[in-house]
Amino acid sequence: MRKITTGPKVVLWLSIIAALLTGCGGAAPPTSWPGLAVAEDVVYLAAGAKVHALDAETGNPKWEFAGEEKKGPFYATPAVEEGLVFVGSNDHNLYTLDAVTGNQRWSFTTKKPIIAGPAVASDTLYVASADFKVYALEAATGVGRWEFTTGNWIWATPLVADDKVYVGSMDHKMYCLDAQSGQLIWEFKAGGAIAATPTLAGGLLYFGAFDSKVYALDAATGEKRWEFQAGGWVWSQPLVVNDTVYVGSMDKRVYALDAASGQKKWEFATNDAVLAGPAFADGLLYVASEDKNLYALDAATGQKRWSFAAQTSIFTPPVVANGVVYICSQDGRVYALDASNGNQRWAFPRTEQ
Amino acid sequence: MAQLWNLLLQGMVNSLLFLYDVLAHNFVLSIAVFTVLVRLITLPLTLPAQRSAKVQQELQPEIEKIRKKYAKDKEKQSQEMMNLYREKGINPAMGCLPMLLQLPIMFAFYQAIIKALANTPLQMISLGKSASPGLSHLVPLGSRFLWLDLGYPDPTFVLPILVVVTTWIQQKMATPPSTDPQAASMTQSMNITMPLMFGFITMSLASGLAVYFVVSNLIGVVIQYFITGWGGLLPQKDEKKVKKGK
Repeated sequence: MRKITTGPKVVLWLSIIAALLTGCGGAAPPTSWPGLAVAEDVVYLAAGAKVHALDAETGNPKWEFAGEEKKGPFYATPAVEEGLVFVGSNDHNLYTLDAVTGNQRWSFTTKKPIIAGPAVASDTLYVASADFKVYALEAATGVGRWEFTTGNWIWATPLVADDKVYVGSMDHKMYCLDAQSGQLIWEFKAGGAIAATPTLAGGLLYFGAFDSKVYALDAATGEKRWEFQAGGWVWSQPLVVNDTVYVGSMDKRVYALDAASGQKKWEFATNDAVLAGPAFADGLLYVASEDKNLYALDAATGQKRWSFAAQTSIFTPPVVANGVVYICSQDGRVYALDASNGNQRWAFPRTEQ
Repeated sequence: MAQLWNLLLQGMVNSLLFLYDVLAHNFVLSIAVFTVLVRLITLPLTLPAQRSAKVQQELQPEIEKIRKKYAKDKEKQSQEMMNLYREKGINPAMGCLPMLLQLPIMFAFYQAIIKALANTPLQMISLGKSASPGLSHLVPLGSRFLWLDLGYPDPTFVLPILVVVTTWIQQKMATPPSTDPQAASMTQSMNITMPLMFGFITMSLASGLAVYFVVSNLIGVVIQYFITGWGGLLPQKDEKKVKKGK
């Protein structure tokens, strides 16, 4: 009797443990959300636990830098300024690298992972962390200038303009800070968490939130001018071109909205969530989707001109430079495409993690 | 099948979010209440196994008699045991069926907690696809409770220790004392390694899951108490009973 029942029970419990350890998702290390930046004919890619510098013309690697691999991958988009590459890591560190050699100049450690990309302006580096804080550091040395604490994680890249820092927090608030002192100028509470980087144009601040809305605020006062209700969370950074706001949503669509009123001009449906902010060049809007495709749309009408299928989903915003659109899919592969027709110029092999 | 699974998971995630909304935005409370609800719903599946264990425990003296009587004839021994089970209306194999049936619910609950406690962008995307629009304003869930950030492992190891202790108590209560040295050795080994393994798992997972394990174990202890009393937790008493039965 006991021999009959104990055996299967042991097997069952061991299978539960095995499932807890291996399946079920929780124990798995976080996967990267690759970050892509292009500057001075160099493509900077933060993917997996490494930062790569690639020749923008050929895709040939120039150097690579490894973070603390055991602590996790990069989620943040690198920022490039004055010969330095700044990139935040899930290992809690902000790394500053020499843009030519990839050698580390200095690093700055926060208390939680850095999901947001850093912002640089007037020799100051602004770093937002999941430890709820925004840090202002001297860009050349990493010496702290001020810090500001929000009510939750910060995953959105701060925006620096007109001597102000605009940063959204997962506490549902958009903050406007004095760039010199870090003093709060105004704050606005949205109906959901804010993980999207804001965009400033024509005196209005545009951003999306997890309440599925796109907001336009008066950048000087923080007063709401309009809001647009999408069908899913808005994580994508809005792009403003002339009088139109382009923004993607997790409802699988990209919307073109009137910048002054928020009225919808057109929408384009992909087959999965649009998490990446779109890019624009020469009348074309480039939209990356979780459905693995990059779509080139007529910015005026939303009509599809061409599309390119990557091997895996695309969460990373596309970057357009010198007639080439650069995209990076979730497997860490970078594609350089002709911006006019989508023909592939080169691809950088899968990033080792 | 995958769609059914996602539906179950989605239902659980939204239930957790709803409870979080009505329970003063306290995720520990919502895990506790939801664990109680899940345990109540799965009670019809778990009770037969626990009752069966109790009957088996009561049959120990008779089983031991058969074992000794037919020590040299294994075939006859097995046949007599099966006759005894049939007579008492027990199907020993059925003891595992309720466990099998509740496994999907347990896994889904586990995944729902992981999903609701999303603390990386990719986990958050997954939550964004599951959370109903009316509950999205709750995200991210307030993950702080006492010294814990429920989305991260407990740095003090208090919860893993509680998991080890409560798992051990529950298991000890549910395990009938055995007179068969081989089975007793295996049971003893399981009673030590299982709690330690669960403790080890919770050291590296979100502490919210450790809360689930502790609450679930405590409920299991209460249910087990009403079925078998302290069971194997009080070995001396049980051994005396077994001897009296002989």
